[in-house]
Amino acid sequence: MNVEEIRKDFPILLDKDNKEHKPIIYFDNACMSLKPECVISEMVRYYHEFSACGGRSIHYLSRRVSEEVEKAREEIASFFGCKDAREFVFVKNTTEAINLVSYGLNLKKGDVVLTSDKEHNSNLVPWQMLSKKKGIEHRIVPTREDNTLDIEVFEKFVKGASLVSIVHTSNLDGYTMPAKEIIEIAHEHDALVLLDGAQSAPHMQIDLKKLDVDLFAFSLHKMLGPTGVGCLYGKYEILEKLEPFITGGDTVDDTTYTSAQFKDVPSKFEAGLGNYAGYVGAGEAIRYLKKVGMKNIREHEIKLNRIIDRELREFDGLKIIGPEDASLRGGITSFVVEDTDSHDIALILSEGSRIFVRSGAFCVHSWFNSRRVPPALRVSLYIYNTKEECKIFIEKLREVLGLL
Amino acid sequence: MKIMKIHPCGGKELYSAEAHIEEIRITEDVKKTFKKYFKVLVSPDNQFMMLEDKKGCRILIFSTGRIVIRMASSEDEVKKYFRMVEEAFVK
Repeated sequence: MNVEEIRKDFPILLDKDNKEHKPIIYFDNACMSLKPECVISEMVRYYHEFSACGGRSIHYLSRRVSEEVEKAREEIASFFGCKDAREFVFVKNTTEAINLVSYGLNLKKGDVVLTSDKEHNSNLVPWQMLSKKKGIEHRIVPTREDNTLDIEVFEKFVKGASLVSIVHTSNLDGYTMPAKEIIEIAHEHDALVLLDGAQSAPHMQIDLKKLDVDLFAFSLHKMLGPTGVGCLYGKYEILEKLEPFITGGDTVDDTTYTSAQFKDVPSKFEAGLGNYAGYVGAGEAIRYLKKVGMKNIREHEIKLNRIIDRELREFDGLKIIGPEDASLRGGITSFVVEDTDSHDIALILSEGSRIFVRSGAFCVHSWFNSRRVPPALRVSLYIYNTKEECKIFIEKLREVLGLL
Repeated sequence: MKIMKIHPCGGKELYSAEAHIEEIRITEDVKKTFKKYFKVLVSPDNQFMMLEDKKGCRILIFSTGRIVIRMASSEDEVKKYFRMVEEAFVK
């Protein structure tokens, strides 16, 4: 994997439109990845060549849109080891995918949904809402002090659950849950499993069929793709039973004044005009990732994360969140510095050195509140980050902390 | 000065705010002025300064023109501090 060559594909890193002529160091990839030129061009190609609506009209442009969108869907399906692209529903993002499941499973009073104690708000609030509205039981399995999951504790908590909705890789600390074991145990107890794959899909090879997961949610904007495009994967037979979340145009074959005949999966979920430019851009992003290779990406991120981890451990009063072994945290290192405000550090790094990291609770407020941890800083890496950037970050962080 | 936003923060009836000034030069005069009212921290390259009042409100001033106020006790205090910053930098 040639990082210097990869960097040339990302206009934002090339400096030509950068008025201040100061390169950026982008370490906020867990929030959003940068976009390569080919993805941007692919979206422009939609607007230049076939900017019509798909699925409805009989004319050439409409057919072209449908073909291009389905090509993107097939690209995504094969990326995850799936042959049937109908198992991938286009949504806006992971949040919408989880909401679709929470709404569409039609859970009833007393049904149990199990999550972990370190879920993104997207996989917390929907279950809290269902708990209030329908009386489901939202059960939370605690993780260890270092945020890893004790599978024996999980097994105790899963008994009686209808659904396990759990983060795959955490945006808090980069730790990846033992998904295969979770799924096997959950299935032994007749529970479905929904994995929040927002942070795993961009960073590792995932074969959804081998994993045997029932539902999997992810966002393309963290995978070099456009904003506003995500997917819900579901086993076909589960998606068939899942009720649509948003209904209307192009979700139905026929209607009367009192009834509607819904289309098959996935169309019944994709209401209204779609984000066609986004979908074809997403397909191109997946092609790019395939070309680079997910194993290479994973190895690269771990290598860089080890450098950052090793250096940060030399700082006084700095505590890393999550497992001690950096390789268990993929490309993420979150940390707090004693008596120092994380937002101040992030602001100074941004304004002074154009180093962009995340500060705060990373939408996992519940974990921060329960463990009484102050807002933290997060470095999250991706394919275009370099050793040199890691070294500059450490140097600048040392300067900032020396000042504060 | 262009005030971009003023909003509650921290869930404790505190306020954060952001503004922009065309040009900021952190000079010795400016530092002296602020030292009368705040604890002042300045980066060695004069690209950044942080002012802190006795209640813990912080004003971060960057040579890029960005000014961020954090943990102010009221909107009025935010406006007062922005005025002070403006008077110090915009002659």
